[in-house]
Amino acid sequence: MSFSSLARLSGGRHFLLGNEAIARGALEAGLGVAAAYPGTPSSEIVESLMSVKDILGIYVEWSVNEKVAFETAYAAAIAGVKSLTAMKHVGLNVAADPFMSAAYTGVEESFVIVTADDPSMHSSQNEQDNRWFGVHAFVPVFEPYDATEAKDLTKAVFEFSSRFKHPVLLRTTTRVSHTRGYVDLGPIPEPKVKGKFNKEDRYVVVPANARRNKQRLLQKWKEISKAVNEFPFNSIQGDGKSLIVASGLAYGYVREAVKYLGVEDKVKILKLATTYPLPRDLLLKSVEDVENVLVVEELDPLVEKEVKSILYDEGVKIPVRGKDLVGMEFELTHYRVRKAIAEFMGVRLLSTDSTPLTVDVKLPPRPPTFCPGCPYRPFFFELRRFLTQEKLPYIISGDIGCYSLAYNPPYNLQDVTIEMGSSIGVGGGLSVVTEDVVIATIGDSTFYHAGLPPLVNAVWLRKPLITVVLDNEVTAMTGHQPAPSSRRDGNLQPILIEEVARGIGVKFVEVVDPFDIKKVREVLKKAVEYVKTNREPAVVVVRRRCALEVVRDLTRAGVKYVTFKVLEDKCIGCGICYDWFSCPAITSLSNRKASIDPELCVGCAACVQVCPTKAIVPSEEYDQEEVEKYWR
Amino acid sequence: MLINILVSGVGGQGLLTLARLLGQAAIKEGMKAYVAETHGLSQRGGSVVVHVRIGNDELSAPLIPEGEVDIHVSLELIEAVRNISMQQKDSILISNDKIIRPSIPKIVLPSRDDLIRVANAVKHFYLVNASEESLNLGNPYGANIVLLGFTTYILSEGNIISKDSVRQEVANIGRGKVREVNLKLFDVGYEKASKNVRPDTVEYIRKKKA
Ligand code: SF4
Ligand code: SF4
Repeated sequence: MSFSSLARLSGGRHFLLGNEAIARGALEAGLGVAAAYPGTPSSEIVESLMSVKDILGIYVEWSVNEKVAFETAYAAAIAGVKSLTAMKHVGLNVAADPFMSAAYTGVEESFVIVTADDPSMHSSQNEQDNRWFGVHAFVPVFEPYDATEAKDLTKAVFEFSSRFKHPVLLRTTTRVSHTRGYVDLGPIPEPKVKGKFNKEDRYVVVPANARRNKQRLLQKWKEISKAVNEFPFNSIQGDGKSLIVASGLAYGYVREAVKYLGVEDKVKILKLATTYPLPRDLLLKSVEDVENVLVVEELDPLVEKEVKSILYDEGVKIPVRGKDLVGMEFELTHYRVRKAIAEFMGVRLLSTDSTPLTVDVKLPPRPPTFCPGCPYRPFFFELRRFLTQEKLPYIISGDIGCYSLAYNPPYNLQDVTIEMGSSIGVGGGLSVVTEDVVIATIGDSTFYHAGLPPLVNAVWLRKPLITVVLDNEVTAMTGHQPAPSSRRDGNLQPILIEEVARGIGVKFVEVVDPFDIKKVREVLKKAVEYVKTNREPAVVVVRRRCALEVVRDLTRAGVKYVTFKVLEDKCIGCGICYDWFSCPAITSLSNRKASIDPELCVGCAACVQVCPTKAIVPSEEYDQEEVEKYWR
Repeated sequence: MLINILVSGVGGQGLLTLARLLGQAAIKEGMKAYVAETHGLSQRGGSVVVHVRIGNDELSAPLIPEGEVDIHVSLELIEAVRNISMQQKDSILISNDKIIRPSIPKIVLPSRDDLIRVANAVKHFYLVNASEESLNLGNPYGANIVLLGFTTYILSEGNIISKDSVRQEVANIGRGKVREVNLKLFDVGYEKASKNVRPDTVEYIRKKKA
């Protein structure tokens, strides 16, 4: 059952993603407003809320970036409407400015900020532990351990936030956000979506007010620190001379590991859902009669440091272990937790009575790649050929999105990629300090997220930079959320990138269809010359829809599209299509000739023009014109 | 009781659907289940694994411990072998008879025979022509449902989840023609298993239940 079909239900057990559970908890708490910019692993939270906004009459938006999303949700909360914003961990860097202030001003109604951290960096550039943001800003941090708890915990943190009129940080990690578990639905109250903003001095953070805010904040912090002791999702379980403190997801691993190791009767577990501030009284109660402590948590030793500091303050002299046994980097695994607990408890970790399976064949790696039909493939294919054939010294300043995949072979076209919007800022800098042709590649959604200010900067300061905006009219990587560039989004007017570029004074602006690789080559050539001669920025908009969206729309509309095939007698086995163009649907046969896998081909026709012998043709007749309408 | 099912394959092959339907059916039957999914970057044609865990209240962590996979269902042969270290010799491997070439220039692929030879080291190994069956039914994207049918046979004979529960979940996705084809794909997989799965494989799962 889809999330939206549950909107009218107020009972029953369903199988939800952690992120869906959070969305459900927010609704059951009376959420009125939600805003976010998508980012893995957070996206499904607001996506779920989006899917029910019309059914429930709440206000939900995809904002241009996390900062604006934060401010939108903050506005609701200071006007008395319960709100939520959700972002991936690095998104909170973008929203850090308002985040710090929000704690100073406080709010009027519930304000929940969800940060979805990504240990092991499944989809991210770093694995920063955002619980530190809570420490930094005086915002309490809560962590659920699975989807079942996430729903109820979310509801509870809404209440907590409302009670203290203070923002709260709900922290998940990838395995909480993206693991399904059962969730028992509760009723959704009639949401309050309109509020009233009471003008108070605390909301204007001029120094005089900010100083008063700080003092009020510290006072409130004392109360919050006391209240977490009573928070129902913390608990002391079992009994023994050893204590294991486990926060969030770590609790699940610890619970299974103590059973696996057969030490259940010897350990006490302090399960924590409030990781900052730490429930001091509860911790002190849990260490009574305890001889040693192990803290298990994902990523940084935040709880560990707190535990040590509290015990030191209280003069409790028992050893506290943690990261020295568990390790710092990457997500937790059963093995890590079992090994740490075994060592801590002085028991042997028996290797499973395993007969290891030997793999004596060499397996090729399989990095992610552009989807079949992806509009980016022909562009990067041609860019690669262009740069190689013209022997241009170049730097590609890349960005975050599907096009980051151009880093992989055969394209190898990302030389520096550090964060959202960096392509233009870093590219602009490189265009000043190097003599190379500098090309920034950035997607449409990322452009509107953080690409505009650096482009204005580049235009203003006349930097010799070529900016290529890869416009597939959607935020594709995170699951196809709309962006300001989306032309097919209901009643909203798209904001065209070429118009923005012209509006801020870029004189060289070209729009090109990446499937027309001849034209791509022409435009690239012109742009390089323009920048060289005029020493000022050029912008190229490469526009074609995301293939996944096209296929979805074609299927929904019932329009017939066909797969393509290779005429064996015409194919000369040059390998251009599978080695260099590299559509995953094209494989090589043992005689080096190409063959197209109908399970993967989406019939985009892009490969037709790369084949020197015109060996690739549609497998059957179809209405080309009609299908093409969906692609553009 | 605890059954660990690893689903492996290539991003885009429908691993998430297969895994979710299994977990959902388990929940409906009153068990506890987790499905740890993979979203985002690696879904774009990369190697993907999804962890499915079905058990009782003691189950509390999302991932399957290394080497403790009971049933490994793979949508692709290279990925089947790549993840084989997650299981023991005495466990189950069900793999689609299909090789997808990674999109890397000048890549050398292992031969199908070599892959099958390695896979054969798993005691209960079943090679299923799921992609072919799916294409035959006019749906190039249905290999996942065929494999779901195959796996369901083993789970239902092993008294873990009933066939009806899983089939009902399949019926709940889509309508009309889509639904009809999906059910057919499921039945094809189930039938295949009922003809090919050996009694000792079923026995292996029954023991897990006990
Ligand atoms: S038509 Fe060619 S490029 Fe497009 S998906 Fe099929 S094989 Fe790939
Ligand atoms: S590009 Fe054309 S000739 Fe070359 S391998 Fe592919 S189909 Fe054959």
